[in-house]
Amino acid sequence: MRNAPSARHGEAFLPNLSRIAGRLALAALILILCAIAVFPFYWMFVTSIRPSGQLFAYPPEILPSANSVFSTYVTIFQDTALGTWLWNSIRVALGTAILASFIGAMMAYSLSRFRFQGRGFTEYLLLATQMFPGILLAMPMYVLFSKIGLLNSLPGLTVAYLALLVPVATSLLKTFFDGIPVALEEASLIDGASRIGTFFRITLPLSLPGLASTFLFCFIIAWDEYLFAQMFVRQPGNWTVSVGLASFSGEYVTPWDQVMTAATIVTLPAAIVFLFLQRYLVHGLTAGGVKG
Amino acid sequence: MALTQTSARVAGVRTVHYADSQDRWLPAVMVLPFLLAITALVIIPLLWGIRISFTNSRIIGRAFTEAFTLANYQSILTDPDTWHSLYVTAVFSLGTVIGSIALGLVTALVLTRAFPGRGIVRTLIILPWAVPHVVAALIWQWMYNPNYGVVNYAIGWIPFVTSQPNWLSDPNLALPAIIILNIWKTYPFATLVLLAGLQSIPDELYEASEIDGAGPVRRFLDITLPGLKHVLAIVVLLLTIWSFGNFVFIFLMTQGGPAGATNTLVVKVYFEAFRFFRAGPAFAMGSLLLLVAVLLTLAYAFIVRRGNDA
Repeated sequence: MRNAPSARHGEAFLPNLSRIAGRLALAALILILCAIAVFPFYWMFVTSIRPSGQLFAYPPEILPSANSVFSTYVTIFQDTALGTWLWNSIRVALGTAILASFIGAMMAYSLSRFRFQGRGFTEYLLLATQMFPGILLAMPMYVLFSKIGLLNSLPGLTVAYLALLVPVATSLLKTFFDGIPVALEEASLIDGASRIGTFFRITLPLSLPGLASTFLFCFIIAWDEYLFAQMFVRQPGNWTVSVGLASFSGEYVTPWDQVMTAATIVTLPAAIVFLFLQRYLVHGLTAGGVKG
Repeated sequence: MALTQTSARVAGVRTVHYADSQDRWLPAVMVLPFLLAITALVIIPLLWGIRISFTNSRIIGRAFTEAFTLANYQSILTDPDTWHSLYVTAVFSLGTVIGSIALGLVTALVLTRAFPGRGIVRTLIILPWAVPHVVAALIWQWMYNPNYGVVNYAIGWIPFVTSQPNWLSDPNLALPAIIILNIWKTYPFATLVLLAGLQSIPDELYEASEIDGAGPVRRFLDITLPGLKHVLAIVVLLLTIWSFGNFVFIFLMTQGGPAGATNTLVVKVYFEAFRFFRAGPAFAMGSLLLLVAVLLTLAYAFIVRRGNDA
C-alpha cells in the first residue's frame, strides 16, 4: 500500500481560483460523485420501506416516509418464493465456488510451478473464456444439456457455471501462487518433504487468503448470474434469486416495495463481499496489467 | 540453489525440481480436472455451436440434418437487421466506454487528493459495481418509471423541461437510458483501475514540470494522460468486451425494443434461438460474435503483455 499520492493529478480541475472557492468546488464535486454512486441504493432501500399506498405518488417523496414499514422484510417471505430462490442460489453458488476453487487451485498451481507444453495456449484460453459473451457458451451448452438431461436442475446449472468460473478461479489463484516464493517450497523439499506434503504444509497455508477471496468471488458471480439461470432452469421452484427477482418486473402492476425489499436482501451479501475484495479484484481482473 | 532437472514426460508435462516418485504423475493429475471441465464445458460446446451454424437446423434441441450449408451465413449477412444490431451494439459499447471513462477519470482524479473522509468516499464509489446486475436493472427501471419515477421528477427541475419522457418505451431514449445504467454499473471499475494508474505516475515528473513553469492543464495533458495511456487502453478494451457481451440489462429493461432500438447482437442471437427457434442463423451469428470476441481478447492480451514488458 502506497502512502497518500500527491494531490497534483487533480489540479487540472481547479484553475487558480482563490483557495476557498477551490475547496468549495471540490467539496461540491465530491458530494455530486457520492450522490451518483449512492442514490440508486438509497432509492432501493427507501422504496422497500415505503407503505404500498404511498409508492405511486407524484412528486415522489425523496426522504423516507414518516410511516415507513419494515414489515415487508418479513412478509416478503410469505408472499413470494424469495426464501426458495435464496436457498437455490446458495446451493448453486456454494457448489460452484467449491468445485471451481478446487479445480482452479490445482490448475493454477501447475501453471505457476510446472513447465509443460501448451502453457501459453492454456493461459490464452483462460483469458478468452472469461471474455466471451456468456450467450456464446450458453446456447450450444443448452443444446448439449437438453440431450443429456441436465436442463431444469440445480446440479445442471452448477455444472454449467463451472464453464464460467473455473477460468476465473484459475486466473485469480495463479496470481496468488506466483506471489509465493518458490524458495520456501524448495527448502521444504530439500528437508525431505514430499511434493504433496510441501503443498499442504507450505503452499496451502500461504495461499489461504487467495483461496478465500477466490471462493467468495466465485460465489458472488454465481449469485449474480442471470443468463444461464433463466435459460437452463424453467420451473419457478428451481429459480435462483436473479431469475426470481427478474420475474417481478414483468407483472402487470409491479409491487415496487416488495421488489426493492427482495433486491436489498439479495444485494447485501454481494456488496459485503465486494467491499472486502475490491483491491484484490482490480489486480486480478486486469491480469497484472496495472502495477499498483 | 541447484536444481536437478528431471524430464518426466507425462502427458507432455516437464517439471523442473527435485526428482521424486511423485513427479511422474502429480502434474498430470493436477491438470486433468481442469482439462476435463474446460473441454466438456467450453471447447466442445463452442465447436458444437460452430457445427450447427453450418446446418439447416430449425429448432433448438431437435436433431438437425448433417448437410453442410452456408445458407445461414448468407442470410444473416444479407439481413439489414444484422447491420442495425451491429450499429446498436457499437453505440452501446462506445457510449459506455466514453461515459464510464469520463466519470471514472473525474472520480479517480478527485480521489487522488487528500480530503477528510476520502476512505469512505472511495468505498461508496465502489457500490454500483457490487450490486447484482438484475438488481441494478430493477432499480433503474423503477427510477425511469414515466409517471412516478424519480428521474422524471429530477429533470422537472431543469428549466424549460416540461415533458415526462417514457424512457424505456421511446425509441430515441431507450438506448441512452440503458447506456446510462451501464455506465453507472461499470464506472467504479474504471475508477479503481485509473486510480491505480494515477498512483503509479512518479511525483518527480510533476515536480519537474512545475519547475519548468507548466500550469495544471499543461501538466494534465503532458504527464497525467501519457502516464495513463496503458491503463486507459486496458479499461477501454475491458469495457468494450463487457458491453459487447451484455445481455441482462437490455433483456430486462427493453427486450431489445422499442422497435429494435436496443436490439444488440447478443440479444438478437438470443431471440433468434429462443423466440423464433431459428437455431441455424442464431449459431451463425454466434460464430461471428465468437470471432470478434477472440480478436478483442487477443488485443487485450497484447496490450497487457506490452505493458508488463515496458
